[in-house]
Amino acid sequence: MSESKDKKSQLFLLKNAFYKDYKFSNKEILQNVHWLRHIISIIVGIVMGVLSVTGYPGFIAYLVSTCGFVAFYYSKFLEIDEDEFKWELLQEGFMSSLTLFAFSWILLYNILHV
Amino acid sequence: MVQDIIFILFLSVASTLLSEGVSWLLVYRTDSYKKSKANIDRLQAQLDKIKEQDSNTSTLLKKKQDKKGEKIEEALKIANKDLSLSKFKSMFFVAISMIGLFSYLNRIFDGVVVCKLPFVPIGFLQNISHRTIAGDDYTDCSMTFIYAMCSMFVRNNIQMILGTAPPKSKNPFLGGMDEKK
Repeated sequence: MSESKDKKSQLFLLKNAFYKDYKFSNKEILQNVHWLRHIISIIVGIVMGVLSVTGYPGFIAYLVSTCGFVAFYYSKFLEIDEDEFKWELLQEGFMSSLTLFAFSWILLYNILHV
Repeated sequence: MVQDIIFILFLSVASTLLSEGVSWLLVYRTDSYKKSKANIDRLQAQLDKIKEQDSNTSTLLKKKQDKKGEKIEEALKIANKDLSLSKFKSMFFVAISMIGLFSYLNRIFDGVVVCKLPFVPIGFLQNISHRTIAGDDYTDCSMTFIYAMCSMFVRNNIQMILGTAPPKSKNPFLGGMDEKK
């Protein structure tokens, strides 16, 4: 696959995700949000599974933690003020992180409590 | 139960890798694909640049730039269409092998409770999560639900890692809404 030379690896981008001085392009921000969101949803899923939370509180915890995190990230670190882009960031990777969260929750719940 | 979940996850990862491999063989390594991908990247970069400048220019310049932006957006749309057309060949093959895999899984897990859900799925999801399972306990989960879930995040993330994710339409839920402007 041909990739432009100035394209940074996703690991590098993630490492620098919390440096305020680093200037990201929109595409890089979207990638970062995508991965950070997935990491958080796995963690939340594991916590829910270990605590054997059942029912809607689990989903509410997921929604609050990921959307809250994304909102915190773009307002505190990226200081974005375009509404359209904020909305795009909130949607980024939503379905796949939701399913990843549900999967890790189900897996842990079945290992520990069934 | 847990082995079943891991098995389904493993199959879903393997099938995604396989289908990406086939796509690479048939599509990604061809010159025409590379060319149109580079084209899209270039147009996208131009568009981003214009949008960035948009916020700090006078109204007179803004009009000019808006027109330019529209032109680039139009070109981008056409390029995206070309790209998805070129993927069609591999999509056909992938679809057939997915159907094969799914019917194989259906045969093994027919009527088997793969896992217990920690929640009761809402209405229409119950049809999927309770497929081929007898009884009224809706926390019993069938293979179909786990497989669908796995393939959703596995596929998405593997394509993201390999850099072959299909270009997103601007507004996946409200497709075509912003064309009215």
